[in-house]
Amino acid sequence: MNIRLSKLILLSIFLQVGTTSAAELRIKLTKNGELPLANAVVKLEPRNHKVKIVPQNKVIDQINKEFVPRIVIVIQGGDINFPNKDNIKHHVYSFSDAKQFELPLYEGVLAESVNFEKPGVVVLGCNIHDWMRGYIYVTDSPYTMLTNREGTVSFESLPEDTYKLSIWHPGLNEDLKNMSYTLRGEDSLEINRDVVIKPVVKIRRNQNRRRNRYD
Amino acid sequence: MLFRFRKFQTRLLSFILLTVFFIQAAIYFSVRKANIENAKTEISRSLQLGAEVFTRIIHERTQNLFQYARLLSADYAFKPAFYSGDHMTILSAMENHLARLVEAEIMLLVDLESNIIASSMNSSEVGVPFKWPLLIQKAEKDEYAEATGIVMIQNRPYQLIVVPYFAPDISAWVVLGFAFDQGVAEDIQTLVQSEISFVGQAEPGKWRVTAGTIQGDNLKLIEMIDQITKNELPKSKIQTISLNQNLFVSLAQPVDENRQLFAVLQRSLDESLKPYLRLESTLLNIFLITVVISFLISLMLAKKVTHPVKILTESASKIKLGNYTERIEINLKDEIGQLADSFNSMARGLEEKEKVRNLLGKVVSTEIAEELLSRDIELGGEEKDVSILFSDIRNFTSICEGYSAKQILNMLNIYLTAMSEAIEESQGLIDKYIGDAVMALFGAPNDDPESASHAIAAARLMSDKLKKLNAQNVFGDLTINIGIGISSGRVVAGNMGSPSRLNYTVIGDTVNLSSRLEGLTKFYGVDVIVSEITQKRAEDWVFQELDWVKVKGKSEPIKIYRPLCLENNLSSHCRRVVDVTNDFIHLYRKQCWNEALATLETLKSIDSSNLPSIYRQRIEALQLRPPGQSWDFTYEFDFK
Repeated sequence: MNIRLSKLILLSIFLQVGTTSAAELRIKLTKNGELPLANAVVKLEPRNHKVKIVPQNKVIDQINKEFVPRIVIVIQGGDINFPNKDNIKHHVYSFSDAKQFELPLYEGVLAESVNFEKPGVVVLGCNIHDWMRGYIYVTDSPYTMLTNREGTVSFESLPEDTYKLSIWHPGLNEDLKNMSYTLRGEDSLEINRDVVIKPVVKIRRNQNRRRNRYD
Repeated sequence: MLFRFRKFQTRLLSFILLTVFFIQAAIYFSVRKANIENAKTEISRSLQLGAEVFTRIIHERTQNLFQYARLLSADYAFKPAFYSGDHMTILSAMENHLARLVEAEIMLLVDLESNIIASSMNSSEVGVPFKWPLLIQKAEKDEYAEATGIVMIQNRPYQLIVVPYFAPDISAWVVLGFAFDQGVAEDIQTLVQSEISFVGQAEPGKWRVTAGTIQGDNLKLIEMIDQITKNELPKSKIQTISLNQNLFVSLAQPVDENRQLFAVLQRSLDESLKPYLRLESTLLNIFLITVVISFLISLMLAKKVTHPVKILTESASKIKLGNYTERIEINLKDEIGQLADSFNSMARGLEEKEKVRNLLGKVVSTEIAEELLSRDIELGGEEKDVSILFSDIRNFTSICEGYSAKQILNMLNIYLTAMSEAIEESQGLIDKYIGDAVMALFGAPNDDPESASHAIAAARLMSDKLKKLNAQNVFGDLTINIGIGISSGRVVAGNMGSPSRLNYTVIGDTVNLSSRLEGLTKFYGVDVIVSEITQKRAEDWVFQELDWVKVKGKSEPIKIYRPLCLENNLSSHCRRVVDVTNDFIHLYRKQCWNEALATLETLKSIDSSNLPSIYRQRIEALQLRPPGQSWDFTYEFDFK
């Protein structure tokens, strides 16, 4: 914990030191034309300056047979711990290219965390609960954030550069990776973007077993 | 009679037979119609039920496939194989799964770009586009990302289902399918007890029968589906179509919502009608038996009805011929029996009436008997113009002396029979016999304008008959002479007497006059005397005028005549008698006595009657006491 805290402090010092000017980028996402899109991953990749990434450790709980939070951003090289807070066992796994792993049936807090080295999306599942779905966004950019409830994300104190913007969401149907914005000095840019989100495919869970199958 | 009897029997027979036949035929045809209708309804119902069962089975099978696919989709063991990227491994794992599924025949894994990852149908098929992307598109739109549909694979219809493959997000599509093949058709046939054929759309608008439990003319099926899909027929309309010379009630049930495949359920109408056909043959037997029985019964009935009718007819014809003693013996209580009773009563009535008629005919004349029988007998009479004949045997009383009553009666009967015949032959009728006297009527009760002539003819005939009887010595050594008086005029004719005892007769002066004239015959020595009125009326007769007389009881004098002969049969002798008599009467009335006497001599030579001697005596008396100018020429009789 101390180590994490010190790393955060170091990062903030570094940012403060390395920045001569601070631009602002505010992005607002809406889905399918109206509602704000929350929990979308927005990533900025500076084209020219290199940013040192400091891995962070995160925690994804399993509460009430769901991954909490469902979408987690983790900086490349970071660890994630999967404490099981249910009174049943879970079997967390992923077959994603970014990280294939499984944590066979366990309960409580596991001693070891899972390390995510490779950037990409890791889809989490539970072997015994089909509907449990979690997403880990392993990023190689520190400018990676989740939109809030209003569908907005604000990047402040961005160094002057050209940034490649990527947007990711589990329901996103299109490839939103190749957008570039150049920010200078005290620029304050606001981007509003509407994305098409696929309806979530339902997964049968606790169906009414009493239903007459001849209905 | 025999022919008519037969005809009646035939009519009765054919009526009953025809009635039975038509009733039977009506029953037969209505039963047949009802059975066919019923069979069709039953088949339709069972086909509809079969279609529901079929739909349910297919639905169940499809749902089973879905469930298998869902399990596979969540199968953790398959995931490493899937992510291994090794096609042969994936295929092998897939085939392993497929082997577990009895109901699925094919299985495919299709990636999210609709390219085949692995296919159980063709192991080398990798990376090629999935042929039915629409199915995947349909799944993408589904909330559970599942879809099902009918596709044609090598002209075989398949039910395919698509479910997402979760690893753990949708990573691919699992496709499972089964074919609607002969096996399915036979399974369904066993279950729903109907023939079933699958008609699938090979190309748009082009249908073919892909499998079926009846082999035959598929064109009819295709035509039916064609009509349904072109909306020429309402959906699932039940049709009766002919296949292999059999009628099949057919129901086309679309298998999928897109109507790519139809299951045609069929049931043979003939097969369903088999129990009815058995019933029909039973009906036919019953029909024949009924016809035979009704034939026999109606024959018996006809005989039973016609037998008494025949007896009645025969008896009636006997009665017609006058045999009133005929009776019928029929021991029946029904209408026929009543008829026989009535017939017997009628015969009895006729017999009695005939007896009365015979008796009456003997007591009174036939005409009066008829008159009495034909109408109600009541007292009273009517005025009629008649001629009345009176005859009497001269000196009957003295004749009777020396003979027994029986002999006299015998003689009288012979005599009266002959006289009665003469009168009746001359259209007269016997009014009564008064001992040896006969009173006869002419012109009553039936009008006769020539009654006078007829009465004279009767008198002549009576005389002739009597002459013959005398010549034949019928009365032994006796010779019977009669006198006849005839007069004509108005009388009252009718039933007289009391209500309990009455008599048809005539009353009037004419009757008395006839009697008086009869009495005069002896005096004048002639057999017949007629009154002046009779003489005038009988124009066809030639008369000899006899006298101008006042009979007893009559104040008016009348001329009396003696009929000689018929005018058209006039002999010279008669002519001469008439002429001489007329000459004499003329001279006599002129009181030329001597000339009259001379003429009388002439008359005497030609006339055998008492006339010449009567007038001779009368002239001799008149010569002594001349009558004077007021002489009325009459001679007054003071005896009857």
